Amino acid sequence: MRRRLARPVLRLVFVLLAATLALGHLACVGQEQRPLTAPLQGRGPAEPGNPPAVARPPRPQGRELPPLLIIGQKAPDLELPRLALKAARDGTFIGKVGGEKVRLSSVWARKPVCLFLSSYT
Amino acid sequence: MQALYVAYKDKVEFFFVYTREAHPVREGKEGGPAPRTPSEIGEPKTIEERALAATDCIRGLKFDLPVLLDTMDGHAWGVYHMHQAATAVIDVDGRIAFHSRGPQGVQPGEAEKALKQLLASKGRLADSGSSR
Repeated sequence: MRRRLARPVLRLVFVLLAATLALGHLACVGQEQRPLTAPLQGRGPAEPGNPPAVARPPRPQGRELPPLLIIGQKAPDLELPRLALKAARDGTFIGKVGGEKVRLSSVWARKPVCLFLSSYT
Repeated sequence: MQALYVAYKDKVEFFFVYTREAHPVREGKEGGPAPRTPSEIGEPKTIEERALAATDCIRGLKFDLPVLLDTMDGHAWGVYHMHQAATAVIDVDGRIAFHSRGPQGVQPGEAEKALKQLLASKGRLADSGSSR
């Protein structure tokens, strides 16, 4: 009785195993063939009949810098308070927030402007 | 930077925009008459503290460019795409003639080249330009 039941089960297991192996083999063959039929993106001109190569964006190298402002584009306007310097008792000076604010657009209408943006640290 | 300012201050408006600290210490020393070194400056929490840090900066680096103070929400830092430091040259039409940013963002030499080109064309940007 047990042998009668075991045979069909073994057959089924064998068929499933064979099907899994066959599918796996087909998938591997498909992956291997992909570079032969389609050009690598961003490398050389496309062959006739193949889709055109698309340039890949450069791979990020560490910490990315923010984008540059484009030459010729309108400069961002700023309205910022001046640093006002007041003399201290010991002859040095102390910086305070000045009451007057400077708007860049009113300055660059008269002269070119050169900005250095930074901190001490 | 100071040399560029002295050479061109009659023809160009210069500003040093003091922004948020690039490398603040965690607990900065209080500002006062005695100048602090960069290793003693924490991140200012108010615009008055930023003014004191800017004072230490101009005393330490010995320059006398007009200084503007960035807002506490970092408006200038944001719109000029800063990363630690930046330089921008703007023509009389309000267009960018040169821009650099990054750890080496203060570039007086490159700014001078852009300024010379601007001044040669009455303060207006020619078609070509450069940026770093």
